[in-house]
Amino acid sequence: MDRSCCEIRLEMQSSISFYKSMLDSYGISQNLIGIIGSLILVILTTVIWKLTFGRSAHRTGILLAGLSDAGKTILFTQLTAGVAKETHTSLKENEAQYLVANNQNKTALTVVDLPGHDAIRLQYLEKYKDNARGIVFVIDSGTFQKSVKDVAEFLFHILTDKQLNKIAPSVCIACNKQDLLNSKTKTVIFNQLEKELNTVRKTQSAALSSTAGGTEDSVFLGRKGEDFQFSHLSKFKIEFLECNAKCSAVDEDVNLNELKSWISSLV
Amino acid sequence: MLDFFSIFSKGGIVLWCYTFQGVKANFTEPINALIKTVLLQERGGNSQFTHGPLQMQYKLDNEFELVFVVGFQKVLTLLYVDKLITDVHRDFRDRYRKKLLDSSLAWITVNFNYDNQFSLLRSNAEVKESNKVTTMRTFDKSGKSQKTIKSMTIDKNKDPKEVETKKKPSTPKAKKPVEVAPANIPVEGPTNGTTVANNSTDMDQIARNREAMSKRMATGKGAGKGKKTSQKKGKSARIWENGGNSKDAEALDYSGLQNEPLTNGHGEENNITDEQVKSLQIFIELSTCVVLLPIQKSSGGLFSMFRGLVGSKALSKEALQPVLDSMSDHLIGKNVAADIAQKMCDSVSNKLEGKILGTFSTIASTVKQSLNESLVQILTPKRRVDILRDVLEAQRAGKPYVITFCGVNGVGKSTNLAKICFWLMENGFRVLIAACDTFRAGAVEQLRTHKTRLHTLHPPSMHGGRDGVCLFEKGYGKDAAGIAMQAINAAKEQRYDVVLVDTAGRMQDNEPLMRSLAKLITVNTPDLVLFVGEALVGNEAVDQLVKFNQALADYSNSEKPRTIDGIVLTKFDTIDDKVGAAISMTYTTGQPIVFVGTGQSYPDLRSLNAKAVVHALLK
Repeated sequence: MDRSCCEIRLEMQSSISFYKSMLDSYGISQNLIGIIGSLILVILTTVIWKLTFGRSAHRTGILLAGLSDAGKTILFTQLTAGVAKETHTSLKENEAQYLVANNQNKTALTVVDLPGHDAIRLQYLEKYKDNARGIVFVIDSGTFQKSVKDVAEFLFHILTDKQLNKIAPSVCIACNKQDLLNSKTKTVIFNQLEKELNTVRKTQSAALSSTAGGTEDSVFLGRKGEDFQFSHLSKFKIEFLECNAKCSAVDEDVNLNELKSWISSLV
Repeated sequence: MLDFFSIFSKGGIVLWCYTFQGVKANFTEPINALIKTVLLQERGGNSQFTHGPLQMQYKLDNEFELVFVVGFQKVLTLLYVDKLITDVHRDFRDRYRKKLLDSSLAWITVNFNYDNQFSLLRSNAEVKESNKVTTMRTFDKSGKSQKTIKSMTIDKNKDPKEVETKKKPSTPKAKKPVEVAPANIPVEGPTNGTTVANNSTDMDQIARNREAMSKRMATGKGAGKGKKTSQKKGKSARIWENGGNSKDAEALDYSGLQNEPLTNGHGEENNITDEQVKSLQIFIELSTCVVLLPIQKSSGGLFSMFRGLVGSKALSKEALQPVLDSMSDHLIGKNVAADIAQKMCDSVSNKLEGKILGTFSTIASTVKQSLNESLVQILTPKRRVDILRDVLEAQRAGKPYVITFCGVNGVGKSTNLAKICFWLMENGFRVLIAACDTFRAGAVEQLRTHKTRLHTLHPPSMHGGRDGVCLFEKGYGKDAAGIAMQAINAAKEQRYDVVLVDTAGRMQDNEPLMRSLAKLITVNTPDLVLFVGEALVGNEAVDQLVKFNQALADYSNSEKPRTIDGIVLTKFDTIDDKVGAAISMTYTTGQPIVFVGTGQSYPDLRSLNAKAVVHALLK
C-alpha cells in the first residue's frame, strides 16, 4: 500500500484537468467529446453487424417455385444439364449445382426445384428458404388467365413471409411457356398480377386467425392506404422476364437467356 | 399386353419409358393422376390404381428415390405384373446402381438403354405365366370316377346322411355340391351388397340356410367349405394362437362376477373373492402369452437397435413394423379413426421401406418425421381456400355466393352458420340466411334470434342503408329444396352477396332424408357444400363422410354430381389435444377443413393451422 486511495484520486483528477485544459485550448467543449465518442462507437457497431449478419454471399440457393405444371422441373433440367427431359408431377425437390460463368471467376450456385403441388409446396419452401439467394417464381403463361388467383395467392405467401423478408432474396417472375400460341406477355402478366395481389392483400388480411392463436404478424405487402404496386416492394428487387424451356414449334428455340443473365447478375 | 412402363425419379424426371407399339397415347395424364391421388394423398398402402380404362400398378424405390409404374387395360387381368415390377426393379437397380450413386445429375444426363433388357424380362414373365396354365386331368384321375352312380343320385325321400359312397373323403363332396352350392349363393348374395333376385321362394332359402348353418356349426370350422377341404386332404384346421374355442368357454367365463353389486367406491369395500382371483390369474396368463410371443420373435432386438445407429442400414418392413404399430396405437389414442391410422402407417411404411438410414438417425425418429410430413400433407388443402376472394368474384359477376351446410344431428350447423354470417358481415358483405331446416322444432326461431342479434351488431347504416342480414323462411313442413331455390332467387333480386342455406341434421343411413339432401344440392347447385362435423366424433367420422358423399353422388341424376367441397370442424374447444377427427375427415374426403368452430359466441371461428394440429397429435 504504497499509495493510498486519496493519492490515486488526486492524480487522476490532475490528469483529467490537464486534458480538459488541453481541449479547451483547442476550442472543443467537453460535451462534444462524449457525443463524438458515442457516434464512433455506434458506427463501428453497425459496420461490424452488417459484416457478420447482413452478407448474403454465404447463401447460394436459387429456388424454382411456382404452381404445379408451371414447368419448373424442365427449367431445372435445362439449366443444369442443357436438356429438356420428359417430366411428371414432382413429389420431391431436385437439387443440383449451376456454374455461373462470370468474367472473373466461376461461382457455383445451387439450383433447387421445389415441387409445386399445393399440399407439399409450403413444406419444401420452409426447408429451403433459409439458403435462398434468389427465387425464380415460374408462371405458366398459357394458362395464366385461369389460374391467376392461385398464382397470386402463392406469390403473396412468398412475399409476405417473415423469414424471406428478413433475408430479402432477389425475386424474378419467369413467365414460362412463351413458345405456346396463347401465352401472355410479361407486361400483361405484370398488370394482372398487380391487380390480383391488391385484392388478395385485402382478403388475406381479413382472413380468420388460425387455431394456434395466430401470434404471427405477417408482413403487410406494399404501402398501407395505397393500391398495391410492385414498385412499392423495395426489398425484393422484383424483375419480370420471359422464357421457354421447351419448343413446340419447329423454328422456335429454347430461350433462357433472360433467366441466365438474371442469375449471373445475382453473383 | 402392357400399355406402358415408366421409371421416373421422385423429383419428376423420367428416366426411361416404354410404350407398347400400337398405343400412341401420352401417358403423362394418368401418371400425374396416380401421383396426385395416391402418392400425395398418402393412400400408398395399396399399390394399385384405376384411372378410366387403365389400371396401374406402382412400386417405390426409397433407396434411389425412384417410382416404377406399369399400366395396362383394366379388362385384361394380367397376373404377371406384380412379379414383373419386382424383377424390373431389382434388375434396374443393380444395373444402374453405380451410375445413380455417382452424381446428382445422373437422372438427367445418363441415357438409360433399358429397352432390350426390359423386353427380355417381360417375355420371361409372360412365358412363365402361360406355363402356369395346367392341362386338364383325364377322367380316370378325377374324383368323379371314384364315386358310384348311386351316391350321385339325390333321392328326396331319403335322409342325405344315409347315402353310401366308395370313398369316404369324397362323401362330403358328393353330399355338399348340390346342397351347398345353392345354399351358398343366397348366403353370399346379401353380403356382397347386391340384391340378388332369387327365383325360389324365400322360405326355401331360409330353410336351406338354416341347414347349412347347423351343419357348419356341428362339424366345426372346416366343413362349411366342405367342397374345398375335401379336395385337399392334407390340410388341417388352422389353430389360432390367441383365439379360443368353445372348450375354453368355462375358463373365460366371468359371468360369476356380474352378480356383484356396483358400488361407487363409497359403499362397503370390495372384497375380492377366490373366484375372481382365479379368473384374474387365467386372464393374466393369457395376456402374458400374447405379450411374450412377439418378444420371443424379436430376440435380437437389443443389438439390432445399436446396429441401426451406426453405419448405413436399409430399413426393412420387419424393422419398421413395431414402430409403426406403436405409432398407429398412439394415433388411435388421439381419436384418429382406426382404419385411417392403419392406412397412414401402411403408406409411411411403403415410403420408408428400403431407405438408407443416416448414421445417427434411429428408426423411430425417421418414422416419426415421415409421419409428421405425411400428416401435414394431408391437412394442407389441395386447392386454394379463400372464401372472401370467391365471394368478391361472385359479387362482381352479380350473383350470390351460395353455401350449404349439411351434417348429422346436433353437430352445430346453425351455430356455426351464424358465426360465418357474422364474419362475412364484418367484411362488408350482405348475407341472406335460408332456413331450410323445416323439421326440427325451433330451428326457424333459432335463426330468427341470430338474425336479430346480428342486426343489432350490424345496423343497416353500416351497409349503406340496406339490411346487412335477412332471414328467408317459410315455416315448417315445406320442401327444403324449394325454399332454397326461392331464397337464392330473392337474394339475386335484392342484391345479397352470400346465401347461407341451413339444412336439417340427418343420419347418414336414412335413405329418404339423404335423397332429399341430394335433391336440394342438385337442384340449387351451391357454390360450396360444407359438411359440418364435430371434433368429438371418432370412428363414426369415416362412416358419415363416406355415406354422405355416396348419397350425394348416387341420388343426383347429373353426370358430374356435386359432393362435399369442404369441412367445418366444430366444438374444437372441447377437445384438448385429441385432434384426430381432423385427420379422419380430411383423409376420407380429400377436401380441406375450411372453418374451425371453437366456442359458442360469434368471434369463435378460426381457420386450421396444420402444423399446430399435427404437433399436438404427435406429442
